[in-house]
Amino acid sequence: MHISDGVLPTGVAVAGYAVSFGLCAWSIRAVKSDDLPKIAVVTSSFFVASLIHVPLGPTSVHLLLPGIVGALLGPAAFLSIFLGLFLQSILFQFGGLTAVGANALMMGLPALLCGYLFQALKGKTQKSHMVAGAAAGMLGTALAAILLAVLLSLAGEDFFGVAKLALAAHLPVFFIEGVITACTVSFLYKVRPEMLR
Amino acid sequence: MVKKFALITVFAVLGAIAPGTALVSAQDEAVCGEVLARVKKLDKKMSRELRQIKRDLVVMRQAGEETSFKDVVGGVGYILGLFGAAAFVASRKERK
Repeated sequence: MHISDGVLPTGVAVAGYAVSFGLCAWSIRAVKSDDLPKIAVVTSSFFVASLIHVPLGPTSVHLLLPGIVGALLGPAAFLSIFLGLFLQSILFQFGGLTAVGANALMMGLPALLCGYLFQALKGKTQKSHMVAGAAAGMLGTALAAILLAVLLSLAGEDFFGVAKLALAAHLPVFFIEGVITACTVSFLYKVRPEMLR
Repeated sequence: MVKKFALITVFAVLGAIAPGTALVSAQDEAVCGEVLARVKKLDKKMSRELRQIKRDLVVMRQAGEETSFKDVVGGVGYILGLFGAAAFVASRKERK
Protein backbone atom coordinates (compact mmCIF):
# COMPACT_ATOMS: atom_id res chain seq x y z
CA MET A 1 0.00 0.00 0.00
CA HIS A 2 2.10 2.85 -1.28
CA ILE A 3 0.99 5.95 -3.14
CA SER A 4 3.17 6.68 -6.16
CA ASP A 5 4.48 9.93 -7.57
CA GLY A 6 2.02 12.11 -9.39
CA VAL A 7 -1.12 10.50 -7.97
CA LEU A 8 -1.79 13.10 -5.33
CA PRO A 9 -2.34 16.76 -6.19
CA THR A 10 0.54 19.03 -5.16
CA GLY A 11 -1.43 20.60 -2.33
CA VAL A 12 -2.15 17.25 -0.69
CA ALA A 13 1.46 16.09 -1.10
CA VAL A 14 2.81 19.29 0.46
CA ALA A 15 0.26 19.16 3.28
CA GLY A 16 1.18 15.51 3.86
CA TYR A 17 4.84 16.49 4.19
CA ALA A 18 4.01 19.38 6.53
CA VAL A 19 1.89 17.26 8.86
CA SER A 20 4.46 14.43 8.73
CA PHE A 21 7.31 16.75 9.67
CA GLY A 22 5.27 18.11 12.56
CA LEU A 23 4.50 14.62 13.81
CA CYS A 24 8.14 13.59 13.32
CA ALA A 25 9.32 16.49 15.47
CA TRP A 26 6.82 15.55 18.15
CA SER A 27 7.90 11.93 17.82
CA ILE A 28 11.60 12.80 18.21
CA ARG A 29 10.87 14.78 21.36
CA ALA A 30 9.14 11.74 22.82
CA VAL A 31 12.17 9.49 22.23
CA LYS A 32 14.24 8.59 25.25
CA SER A 33 17.90 7.87 24.53
CA ASP A 34 17.64 4.45 26.19
CA ASP A 35 15.02 3.45 23.64
CA LEU A 36 17.16 4.20 20.60
CA PRO A 37 18.40 0.63 20.00
CA LYS A 38 14.86 -0.72 20.27
CA ILE A 39 13.58 1.87 17.81
CA ALA A 40 16.42 1.04 15.43
CA VAL A 41 15.62 -2.67 15.45
CA VAL A 42 11.87 -2.14 15.02
CA THR A 43 12.49 0.34 12.20
CA SER A 44 14.72 -2.17 10.42
CA SER A 45 12.07 -4.86 10.77
CA PHE A 46 9.41 -2.54 9.41
CA PHE A 47 11.69 -1.58 6.52
CA VAL A 48 12.38 -5.19 5.57
CA ALA A 49 8.91 -6.62 6.23
CA SER A 50 7.26 -5.05 3.21
CA LEU A 51 9.90 -6.53 0.91
CA ILE A 52 8.89 -10.09 1.67
CA HIS A 53 6.08 -10.87 -0.74
CA VAL A 54 4.00 -13.92 0.05
CA PRO A 55 2.18 -15.33 -2.97
CA LEU A 56 -1.51 -15.69 -2.17
CA GLY A 57 -3.88 -16.80 -4.87
CA PRO A 58 -3.54 -14.68 -7.99
CA THR A 59 -1.72 -11.82 -6.28
CA SER A 60 0.94 -11.51 -3.64
CA VAL A 61 0.66 -9.71 -0.34
CA HIS A 62 3.24 -8.30 2.00
CA LEU A 63 3.19 -7.37 5.65
CA LEU A 64 2.64 -3.74 6.59
CA LEU A 65 3.20 -3.93 10.36
CA PRO A 66 1.88 -0.52 11.49
CA GLY A 67 0.08 -2.15 14.41
CA ILE A 68 3.08 -3.84 15.95
CA VAL A 69 5.36 -0.85 15.37
CA GLY A 70 2.87 1.32 17.27
CA ALA A 71 2.47 -1.23 20.04
CA LEU A 72 6.22 -1.55 20.57
CA LEU A 73 7.30 2.06 20.12
CA GLY A 74 4.39 4.24 21.20
CA PRO A 75 4.89 7.86 20.14
CA ALA A 76 8.26 7.06 18.51
CA ALA A 77 6.43 4.88 15.98
CA PHE A 78 5.84 7.79 13.64
CA LEU A 79 9.54 8.59 13.37
CA SER A 80 10.27 4.94 12.73
CA ILE A 81 7.68 4.64 9.97
CA PHE A 82 8.66 7.89 8.31
CA LEU A 83 12.29 6.80 8.16
CA GLY A 84 11.41 3.32 6.93
CA LEU A 85 9.15 4.61 4.17
CA PHE A 86 11.66 7.27 3.14
CA LEU A 87 14.40 4.67 2.70
CA GLN A 88 12.04 2.32 0.87
CA SER A 89 11.14 5.07 -1.54
CA ILE A 90 14.71 6.08 -2.34
CA LEU A 91 16.15 2.55 -2.46
CA PHE A 92 13.31 0.51 -3.98
CA GLN A 93 11.01 3.11 -5.55
CA PHE A 94 8.19 1.88 -3.28
CA GLY A 95 5.93 4.90 -3.46
CA GLY A 96 7.14 8.17 -4.86
CA LEU A 97 9.51 10.52 -3.12
CA THR A 98 6.96 13.33 -3.35
CA ALA A 99 4.34 11.15 -1.68
CA VAL A 100 6.48 10.09 1.29
CA GLY A 101 4.68 12.58 3.54
CA ALA A 102 1.26 11.24 2.64
CA ASN A 103 2.47 7.63 2.85
CA ALA A 104 3.93 8.27 6.28
CA LEU A 105 0.61 9.67 7.43
CA MET A 106 -1.20 6.69 5.96
CA MET A 107 0.92 4.21 7.93
CA GLY A 108 1.98 6.37 10.87
CA LEU A 109 -1.38 7.57 12.14
CA PRO A 110 -2.74 4.02 12.48
CA ALA A 111 0.50 3.08 14.22
CA LEU A 112 0.13 5.87 16.78
CA LEU A 113 -3.51 5.00 17.36
CA CYS A 114 -2.73 1.29 17.71
CA GLY A 115 0.02 2.14 20.18
CA TYR A 116 -2.42 3.94 22.44
CA LEU A 117 -5.04 1.26 21.97
CA PHE A 118 -2.56 -1.45 22.85
CA GLN A 119 -1.45 0.34 26.01
CA ALA A 120 -5.08 0.81 27.02
CA LEU A 121 -6.12 -2.77 26.32
CA LYS A 122 -3.09 -4.82 27.28
CA GLY A 123 -4.13 -5.59 30.86
CA LYS A 124 -1.88 -7.68 33.05
CA THR A 125 -2.04 -11.26 31.79
CA GLN A 126 -0.45 -12.88 28.78
CA LYS A 127 -3.84 -13.59 27.27
CA SER A 128 -4.98 -9.99 27.46
CA HIS A 129 -1.68 -8.92 25.93
CA MET A 130 -2.30 -11.33 23.06
CA VAL A 131 -5.81 -10.04 22.46
CA ALA A 132 -4.63 -6.43 22.54
CA GLY A 133 -1.81 -7.30 20.13
CA ALA A 134 -4.16 -9.02 17.71
CA ALA A 135 -6.53 -6.05 17.82
CA ALA A 136 -3.68 -3.61 17.20
CA GLY A 137 -2.31 -5.68 14.31
CA MET A 138 -5.65 -5.98 12.55
CA LEU A 139 -6.79 -2.43 13.20
CA GLY A 140 -3.47 -0.97 12.02
CA THR A 141 -3.81 -2.50 8.57
CA ALA A 142 -7.52 -1.69 8.28
CA LEU A 143 -6.96 1.94 9.24
CA ALA A 144 -4.10 2.20 6.76
CA ALA A 145 -6.42 0.95 4.00
CA ILE A 146 -9.09 3.47 5.00
CA LEU A 147 -6.57 6.31 5.11
CA LEU A 148 -5.39 5.29 1.65
CA ALA A 149 -8.97 5.72 0.46
CA VAL A 150 -9.20 9.12 2.19
CA LEU A 151 -5.98 10.33 0.55
CA LEU A 152 -6.98 9.04 -2.88
CA SER A 153 -10.41 10.61 -2.55
CA LEU A 154 -8.59 13.93 -2.12
CA ALA A 155 -7.00 13.18 -5.49
CA GLY A 156 -10.46 12.86 -7.01
CA GLU A 157 -11.06 9.12 -6.68
CA ASP A 158 -14.33 7.71 -5.43
CA PHE A 159 -13.86 7.20 -1.67
CA PHE A 160 -16.08 4.16 -1.17
CA GLY A 161 -14.83 2.44 -4.30
CA VAL A 162 -11.18 2.71 -3.26
CA ALA A 163 -11.95 1.87 0.36
CA LYS A 164 -13.81 -1.28 -0.63
CA LEU A 165 -11.04 -2.33 -3.01
CA ALA A 166 -8.23 -1.65 -0.54
CA LEU A 167 -10.01 -3.41 2.31
CA ALA A 168 -10.85 -6.42 0.15
CA ALA A 169 -7.29 -6.69 -1.19
CA HIS A 170 -5.85 -6.61 2.32
CA LEU A 171 -8.36 -8.92 3.97
CA PRO A 172 -5.84 -11.77 4.25
CA VAL A 173 -3.23 -9.34 5.53
CA PHE A 174 -5.50 -8.29 8.44
CA PHE A 175 -5.58 -11.81 9.78
CA ILE A 176 -1.93 -12.53 9.14
CA GLU A 177 -0.94 -9.30 10.86
CA GLY A 178 -3.29 -10.02 13.75
CA VAL A 179 -1.75 -13.45 14.28
CA ILE A 180 1.83 -12.21 13.90
CA THR A 181 1.32 -9.29 16.26
CA ALA A 182 -0.40 -11.48 18.85
CA CYS A 183 2.41 -14.07 18.69
CA THR A 184 5.15 -11.44 18.88
CA VAL A 185 3.53 -9.65 21.78
CA SER A 186 2.92 -12.83 23.77
CA PHE A 187 6.50 -13.95 23.12
CA LEU A 188 7.86 -10.59 24.25
CA TYR A 189 5.60 -10.66 27.30
CA LYS A 190 7.23 -13.91 28.33
CA VAL A 191 10.82 -13.02 27.44
CA ARG A 192 11.22 -9.25 27.73
CA PRO A 193 8.09 -7.71 29.31
CA GLU A 194 9.83 -4.37 29.71
CA MET A 195 9.78 -3.92 25.91
CA LEU A 196 6.00 -3.62 25.96
CA ARG A 197 5.76 -0.77 28.43
CA MET B 1 22.63 -4.59 -62.79
CA VAL B 2 20.46 -1.56 -63.51
CA LYS B 3 20.01 -2.76 -67.03
CA LYS B 4 18.95 -6.18 -65.78
CA PHE B 5 16.54 -4.62 -63.33
CA ALA B 6 14.98 -2.47 -66.03
CA LEU B 7 14.70 -5.52 -68.21
CA ILE B 8 12.95 -7.45 -65.43
CA THR B 9 10.56 -4.54 -64.88
CA VAL B 10 9.74 -4.33 -68.54
CA PHE B 11 9.17 -8.06 -68.67
CA ALA B 12 7.05 -7.92 -65.55
CA VAL B 13 4.91 -5.14 -67.01
CA LEU B 14 4.56 -7.04 -70.25
CA GLY B 15 3.77 -10.17 -68.29
CA ALA B 16 1.04 -8.29 -66.43
CA ILE B 17 -0.39 -6.96 -69.65
CA ALA B 18 -0.39 -10.29 -71.41
CA PRO B 19 -0.52 -13.14 -68.92
CA GLY B 20 0.23 -16.52 -70.27
CA THR B 21 2.82 -15.37 -72.76
CA ALA B 22 6.26 -16.45 -71.59
CA LEU B 23 8.26 -13.22 -71.91
CA VAL B 24 10.54 -13.80 -68.85
CA SER B 25 13.46 -15.99 -69.71
CA ALA B 26 14.48 -18.89 -67.52
CA GLN B 27 17.76 -17.17 -66.65
CA ASP B 28 16.04 -14.07 -65.25
CA GLU B 29 13.70 -16.21 -63.24
CA ALA B 30 16.68 -17.95 -61.66
CA VAL B 31 18.22 -14.57 -60.71
CA CYS B 32 14.94 -13.44 -59.10
CA GLY B 33 14.70 -16.67 -57.15
CA GLU B 34 18.22 -16.29 -55.85
CA VAL B 35 17.59 -12.70 -54.70
CA LEU B 36 14.41 -13.76 -52.98
CA ALA B 37 16.15 -16.62 -51.22
CA ARG B 38 18.89 -14.28 -49.95
CA VAL B 39 16.35 -11.76 -48.65
CA LYS B 40 14.45 -14.50 -46.87
CA LYS B 41 17.64 -15.81 -45.30
CA LEU B 42 18.60 -12.34 -44.11
CA ASP B 43 15.12 -11.78 -42.73
CA LYS B 44 15.30 -14.99 -40.74
CA LYS B 45 18.69 -14.06 -39.32
CA MET B 46 17.54 -10.58 -38.37
CA SER B 47 14.40 -11.76 -36.65
CA ARG B 48 16.46 -14.27 -34.71
CA GLU B 49 18.81 -11.53 -33.53
CA LEU B 50 15.88 -9.26 -32.68
CA ARG B 51 14.34 -12.01 -30.57
CA GLN B 52 17.59 -12.37 -28.69
CA ILE B 53 17.72 -8.60 -28.03
CA LYS B 54 14.11 -8.55 -26.86
CA ARG B 55 14.85 -11.40 -24.47
CA ASP B 56 17.83 -9.49 -23.09
CA LEU B 57 15.65 -6.40 -22.64
CA VAL B 58 13.08 -8.31 -20.62
CA VAL B 59 15.79 -9.79 -18.43
CA MET B 60 17.30 -6.35 -17.87
CA ARG B 61 13.94 -4.82 -17.03
CA GLN B 62 13.23 -7.56 -14.51
CA ALA B 63 16.63 -7.10 -12.93
CA GLY B 64 15.90 -3.38 -12.58
CA GLU B 65 12.56 -3.97 -10.91
CA GLU B 66 13.59 -6.59 -8.44
CA THR B 67 14.83 -5.34 -5.10
CA SER B 68 18.29 -6.65 -4.65
CA PHE B 69 19.65 -8.09 -1.46
CA LYS B 70 22.36 -5.43 -1.52
CA ASP B 71 19.77 -2.66 -1.26
CA VAL B 72 17.99 -4.36 1.63
CA VAL B 73 21.17 -4.74 3.62
CA GLY B 74 22.16 -1.20 2.73
CA GLY B 75 18.84 0.15 3.99
CA VAL B 76 19.12 -1.73 7.27
CA GLY B 77 22.63 -0.38 7.59
CA TYR B 78 21.35 3.15 7.05
CA ILE B 79 18.76 2.76 9.79
CA LEU B 80 21.16 1.24 12.30
CA GLY B 81 23.77 3.85 11.44
CA LEU B 82 21.38 6.76 11.89
CA PHE B 83 20.16 5.48 15.24
CA GLY B 84 23.71 4.69 16.25
CA ALA B 85 24.68 8.29 15.53
CA ALA B 86 21.65 9.50 17.48
CA ALA B 87 22.61 7.28 20.41
CA PHE B 88 26.16 8.62 20.26
CA VAL B 89 24.95 12.22 20.40
CA ALA B 90 22.55 11.37 23.23
CA SER B 91 25.28 9.65 25.23
CA ARG B 92 27.60 12.68 24.82
CA LYS B 93 24.83 14.97 26.01
CA GLU B 94 24.25 12.80 29.06
CA ARG B 95 27.93 12.69 29.97
CA LYS B 96 28.28 16.47 29.99
